[in-house]
Amino acid sequence: MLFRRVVSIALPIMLLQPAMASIELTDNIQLSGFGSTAISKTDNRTPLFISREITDETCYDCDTVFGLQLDIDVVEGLMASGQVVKRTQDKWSDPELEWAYLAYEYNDFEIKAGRLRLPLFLASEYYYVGQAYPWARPPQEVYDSILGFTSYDGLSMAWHYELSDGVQLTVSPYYGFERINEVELGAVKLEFDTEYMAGLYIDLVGFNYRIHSGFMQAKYQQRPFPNTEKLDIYTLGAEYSYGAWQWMAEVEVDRIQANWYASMIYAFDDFSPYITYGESHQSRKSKGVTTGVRYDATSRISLNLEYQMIFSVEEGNRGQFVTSPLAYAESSDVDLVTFSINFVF
Amino acid sequence: MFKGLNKLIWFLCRSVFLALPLLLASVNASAVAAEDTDVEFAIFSLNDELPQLSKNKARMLYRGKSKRISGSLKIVLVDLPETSIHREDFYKMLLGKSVSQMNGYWAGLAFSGKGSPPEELDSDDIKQILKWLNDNPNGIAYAPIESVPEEVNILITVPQGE
Repeated sequence: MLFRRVVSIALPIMLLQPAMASIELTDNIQLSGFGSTAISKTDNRTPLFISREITDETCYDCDTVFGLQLDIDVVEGLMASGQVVKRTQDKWSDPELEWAYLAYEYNDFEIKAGRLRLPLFLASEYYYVGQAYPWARPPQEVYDSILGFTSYDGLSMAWHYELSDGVQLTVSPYYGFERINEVELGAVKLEFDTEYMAGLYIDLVGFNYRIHSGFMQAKYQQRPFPNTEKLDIYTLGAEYSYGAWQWMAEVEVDRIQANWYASMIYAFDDFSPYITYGESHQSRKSKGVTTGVRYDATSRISLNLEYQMIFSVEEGNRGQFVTSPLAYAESSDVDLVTFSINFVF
Repeated sequence: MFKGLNKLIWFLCRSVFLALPLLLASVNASAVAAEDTDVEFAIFSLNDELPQLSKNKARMLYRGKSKRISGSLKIVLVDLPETSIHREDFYKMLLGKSVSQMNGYWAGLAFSGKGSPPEELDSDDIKQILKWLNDNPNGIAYAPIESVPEEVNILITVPQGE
């Protein structure tokens, strides 16, 4: 309730502000926010995408996200940050604390403690900020591979080395302590008691490219089953831009699946058409193409119009649905249209 | 409902992928043309201790991927107003990016806790820029080179610098 009230007061004020100004509450405290919402519809009764569950009935709130972020400079080098997000699966009255951490920076070294974002993918850190990526949604083949889990409670360290004037290397190990992760897949609720999540990412960054490689090991128990399992996840992603072009590609591999996508985007001033191709193998089996265009209406508001086709590779496999389309006596192929709006302040 | 469109769109997607090499070649040509304007910018500071910047370093700074010069000096950037034609030209020249592209890009950085977009001035008047630089000893700014007074520390010029 409180969240909703804050939103209804803050939002109009912020969208009326000139330029990309977040709100400076004092010199050291900054409030900013982001949101997206979409009208979406498929041609299949089977709910599509984890935590969004879009069907053949026009949906106005399957993709609604709203987040507020508070950044505080405590003293030189020490800062605190908190982010509360109403994710697609959350009710407005029950948003999620997506992160809350203290960060200390000393020259090229940085340490963070608290609730942190899992750094598996290129867009992991701004996963909920539609304004920050070209598409209406990050490609599901890769981004839904770990059931949409995005955070851990623990510690991370990062070293930034300047290899040369134009190339920076970041090495960052992290460790997450025990926690319970829950996700709903249609009518089924999955619960994971995660004993630990430990990983490392290495980034190579130049002014117009970024190569991101990640490894994570999770030890967990899926309730109510008694056995403990270990899962090793490997990710590799790259983005490169040249003039008006931008290319992105990512791969995710673990014991039960392999997924990848490649996307290219071209910016004609405020219009950016894009095309993405993705595949999922083993546990989910599908191929899909997304074509769309993003329109930057102002510096803080953008629109996306997108058409996505997902083809089944094996009859009855869940693919990108939340359950097998056989349960709905439906085709395994699906087409989706989306019209979305994103904003930041 | 959408089935009839599938084949058509599939075909379109294919042709885009096939046409990519051609498109690339044309972009190359236009990128060269874009640098061929007669405006020249200076990236400058009032702080004489700041060293000269290489073009790579300047690009890393203005994409928010690097915040320091010489390992420890923390740099602060300032932007001209969004309506300023100089801002548009500057980003096109230094990074090949439009103002829209930069905005989306900064949103990603800001919401990952990796940095906030440069403070924006109310006007692109050189007096305002100099006043801001005076208040921010580690600040750097950009402006067309003919408007920049002689006594400032010019770190690099764009597009000439290397």
